[in-house]
Amino acid sequence: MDCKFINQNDIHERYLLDRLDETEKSEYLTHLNSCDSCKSKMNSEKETQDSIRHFGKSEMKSEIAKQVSELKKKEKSISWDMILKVAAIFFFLVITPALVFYYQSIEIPKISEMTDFDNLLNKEIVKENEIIKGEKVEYKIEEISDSKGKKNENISDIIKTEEYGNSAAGAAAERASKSISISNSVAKSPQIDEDINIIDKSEVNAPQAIEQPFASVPQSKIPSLKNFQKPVKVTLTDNALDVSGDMKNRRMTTASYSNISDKTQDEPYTEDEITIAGKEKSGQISKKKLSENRIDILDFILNNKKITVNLMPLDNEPETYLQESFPDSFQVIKKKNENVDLIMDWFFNSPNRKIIPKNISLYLTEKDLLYVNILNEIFYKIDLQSDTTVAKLIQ
Amino acid sequence: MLKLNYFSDKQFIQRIQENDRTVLGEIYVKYERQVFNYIKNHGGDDFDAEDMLQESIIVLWQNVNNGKFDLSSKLGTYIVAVAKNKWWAHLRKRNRISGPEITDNTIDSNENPLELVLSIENEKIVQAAFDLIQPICKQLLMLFYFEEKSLEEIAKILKFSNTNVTKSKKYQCKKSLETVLRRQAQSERRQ
Repeated sequence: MDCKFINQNDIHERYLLDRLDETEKSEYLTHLNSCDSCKSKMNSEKETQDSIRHFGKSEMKSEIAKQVSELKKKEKSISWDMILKVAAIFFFLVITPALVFYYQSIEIPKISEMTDFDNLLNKEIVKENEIIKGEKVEYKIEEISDSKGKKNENISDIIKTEEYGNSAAGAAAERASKSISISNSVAKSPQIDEDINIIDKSEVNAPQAIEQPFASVPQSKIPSLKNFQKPVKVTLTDNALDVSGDMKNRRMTTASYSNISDKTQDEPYTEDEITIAGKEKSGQISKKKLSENRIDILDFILNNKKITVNLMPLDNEPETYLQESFPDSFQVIKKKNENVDLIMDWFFNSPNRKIIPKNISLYLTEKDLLYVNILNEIFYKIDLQSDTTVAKLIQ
Repeated sequence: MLKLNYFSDKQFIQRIQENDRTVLGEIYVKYERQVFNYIKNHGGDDFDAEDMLQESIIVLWQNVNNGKFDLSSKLGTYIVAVAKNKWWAHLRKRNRISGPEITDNTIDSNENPLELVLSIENEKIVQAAFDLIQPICKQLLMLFYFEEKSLEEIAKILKFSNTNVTKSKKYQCKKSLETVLRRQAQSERRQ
């Protein structure tokens, strides 16, 4: 084997590609050891082949990486497809029947109904009437002591001058900081305990004739709540009940209270105007002033479940208001397992007023709605001196 | 991806013989876990494992094309064995540590020191040179030197009339590449 033969037959190339037989290979290597020119050519050939191989390897690696990346993307999308399919099957086979069963088994008011106050009232009123008829009505008479009676006379006079007055809210708000501490101290005083005892006693002595004042009221006489205005918005602050909204057919726009000692001609409310009396689980009744903070009152209501709201109504209430009176003037929100019994007790104490027994059970849950409900009732105008059937029954 | 599970070893080999390059990624995905587990359990990381698996697939591709491959075991066993040998060879070169003796012929016989020491600079030169030659030359040179296909196969793939044309074209292409490589190297040296 010589240089000419090697070059003509691509021996360098074939050697590097391992395509020489053993004899050719041996002869080639023997020649290569003694030929610098061939050695140089072989090195050059090797460099070229190495370059091509290196480039080829690099290209193929890139190709593999690209393919793998695409395959994994597909794999992911396939996985998601599978997951979605399985989820869809699961939803239709398990979740949907479960939801259908759930919604068939419970009574949930539609959102539209919940926001449509008038509809909600109309829907629930029948149930509410049923509840009222079934309840034993508690009759409460608060024997007012001389000093207390005196206070209330003063209050009545003031209220006359401030009737429907919007200035009440501002005046009450100004007194807010003062009333908190004083009212709290009043709530803890022996006077409150005395009131509680009196209430308990009055319950026992309640006359039978008015135990169920609305029991005989024909359904037709109960005005439809369709005509009732939108509910007021009630905000219970630390020491005031702020009521806003459409106040037509409502007694006051703002209820507030202050200590008797601060009372002036511009201050229509006293500590006795609005109180919440709660019947403890033991059966004993205790009172809470609305001057106490909101959380306390909410806890009180929710813990005691049954509360009594005592309101001193205003004089000179127009007769026409009576047409939309109890028991229609509150809304009822029912929610399973979260019932709150609310008893509302109305009374007044003045020569022109009579003690009004009034117990109404409400089933309430939402805390703010609770106050709306209370105040819908409290601020609803009612003329107890009128000749209407309901007024007579109440009287 | 699901279809990968249905390709037998034979089908994979057949696709390589038919020059179906889409098989590359599929083989990688199929044997990824096996090779990665081995390399990572023997001092390598993801990058090493990826490199070893790619190298193994390339060896498979080359050996199937140059007739050195004999499917006497499972393809997976072959791929993992090549990866193992390449990994130990790599470790010996890198760390001069002792490892199992390489007893089979799965190691890439074409691997040489020059290839290993090709710097990024040289890679750039080679890349630029391949970009400058005709695409048909690039393809032909790759088929002959990298994939080690025969002139008959190349003639078929590139639709040349016969092997003589292929041989002649290969010679021209090689000369062209060498010229460009020299020029690129000189240009690089001047810079």
